[in-house]
Amino acid sequence: MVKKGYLRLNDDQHDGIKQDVYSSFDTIPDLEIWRQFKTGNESAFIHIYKTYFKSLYNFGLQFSKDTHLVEDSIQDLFIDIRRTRKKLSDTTSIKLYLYKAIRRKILRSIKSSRKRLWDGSIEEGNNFHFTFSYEHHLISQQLNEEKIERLNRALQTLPKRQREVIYYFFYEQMGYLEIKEIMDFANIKSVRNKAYIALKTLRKSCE
Amino acid sequence: MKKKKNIEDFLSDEEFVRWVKNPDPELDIFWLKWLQLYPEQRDVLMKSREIILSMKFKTHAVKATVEEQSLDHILSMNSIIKTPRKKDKTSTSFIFLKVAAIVIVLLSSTYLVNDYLSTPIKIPPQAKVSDIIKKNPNGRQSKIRLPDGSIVWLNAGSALSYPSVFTDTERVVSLDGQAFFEVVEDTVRPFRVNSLGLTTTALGTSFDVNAYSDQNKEVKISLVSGKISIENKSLKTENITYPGEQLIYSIKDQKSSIRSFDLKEVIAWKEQILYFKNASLSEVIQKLERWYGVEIQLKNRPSKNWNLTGEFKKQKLKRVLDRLSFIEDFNYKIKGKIIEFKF
Repeated sequence: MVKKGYLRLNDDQHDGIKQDVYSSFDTIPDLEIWRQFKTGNESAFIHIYKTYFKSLYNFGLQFSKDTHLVEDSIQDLFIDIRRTRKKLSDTTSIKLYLYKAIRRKILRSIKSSRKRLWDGSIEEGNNFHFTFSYEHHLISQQLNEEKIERLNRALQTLPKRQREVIYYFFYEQMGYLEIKEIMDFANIKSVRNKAYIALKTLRKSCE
Repeated sequence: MKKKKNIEDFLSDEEFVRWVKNPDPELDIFWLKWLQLYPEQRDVLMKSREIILSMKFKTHAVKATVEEQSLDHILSMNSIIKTPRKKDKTSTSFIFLKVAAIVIVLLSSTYLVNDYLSTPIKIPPQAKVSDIIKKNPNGRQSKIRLPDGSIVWLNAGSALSYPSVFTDTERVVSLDGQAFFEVVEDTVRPFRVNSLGLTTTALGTSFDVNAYSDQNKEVKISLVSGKISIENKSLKTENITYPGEQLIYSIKDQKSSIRSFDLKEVIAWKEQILYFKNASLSEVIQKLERWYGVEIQLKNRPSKNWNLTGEFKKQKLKRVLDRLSFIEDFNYKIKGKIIEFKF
């Protein structure tokens, strides 16, 4: 009882009128939401969690098939940012911040479990799996089924990092600058090159 | 507007991708003008567009319960962790005084509000408590933070279940397998571990429980710091008050004994050290299978009994097998997840 009363009081101080603040987050710029979260606004935190949990989950599973590992990493990430919120740096893109952080976390735990496990025994992740599918509704029909098939075969040959760039660019619709940030590329040019090489491989397959 | 030669020139263009995926009137104007300028590029443009539209990414949906439970867990990780673990008596009672003071203030202000407003205040329903189960397959260990801030290292092939929120009176978890507990001190709520019919109770301490149900032989509870008491099904209680002591409970005869233990042997696993002390062949096999998530098959029996002592820190299975086979003189073959020993 003692604890509950204490916590509630704390929440009230931060939240103000919970319902109102929560519903109005959609129109507030990321930087503002992030700053509110940093100063202890719990509804800002809930908003961030609710907005990004599903996409972080989907994103995490591109690296590893292990749903436990992905769930734990996301949980840890949110616990971390909540605990150290006062010290976090500002960001104008919460998505980018969380993606970069979760990517680092997951890759690190995959690496550490690889170290312990014997090479090859660990299940490979989904590795940004995607396919080309034949779409009948497309108007001009430049691609026939055979070309689609060849595109898919070429896809299998793309290195993981190239597929990752393709994933951000086409699925997440991120720009080169954002991809550079997430994947720690030295500059935008090298991201663009990576994408270009991958796309060239694909183009050649369906000529 | 620059001319484009190949499909990849289109596909790598941020604005082109944006137009294909999320067209808006301005982008429509732009690309129609572009086509007027380079009409011969129409086919390449259309083909690029179709490639983008035919990309299908594999997506993964998450259960709503996972999202909710995870949030409950995150929100329950409260100030408890922030308070330093080593605290002296005076500061603890000071915190208690502060809490008491705030509660009094809260109660009296609620009273006032109730007095002024005749409309009843809505009390939110009690948050639903759900059980969280963390399960490690063979070959995987994990570190878990419980809702009260206590930390559990869960060994491979083990499962731990605990409520998303502990009650106000006790903190109860259940274990099948091996785990090391570092319990946050809470004099009001004892911490209890149920494992194979034994209940280990601690206030604030660290200890290791080794209770694999598939082994079904004995439970070992080792005290590293603090004090614990252990109760069996017939409610007989044993106290372990000296760190370094271990209770061994035999499931078959339901009897327990206390002896001292080798700290390294008990907690090496938590530092990712695979540790053997006077281990027999069957002990070694069991540990290896659990540690690396493999199955070991014996082609024949060894000529002499094993009595292996040694440690492997963060080593790959192959390295460990090379060393073992050299020491104990046998050959091994790796066939996927199955390993054959031949003496």
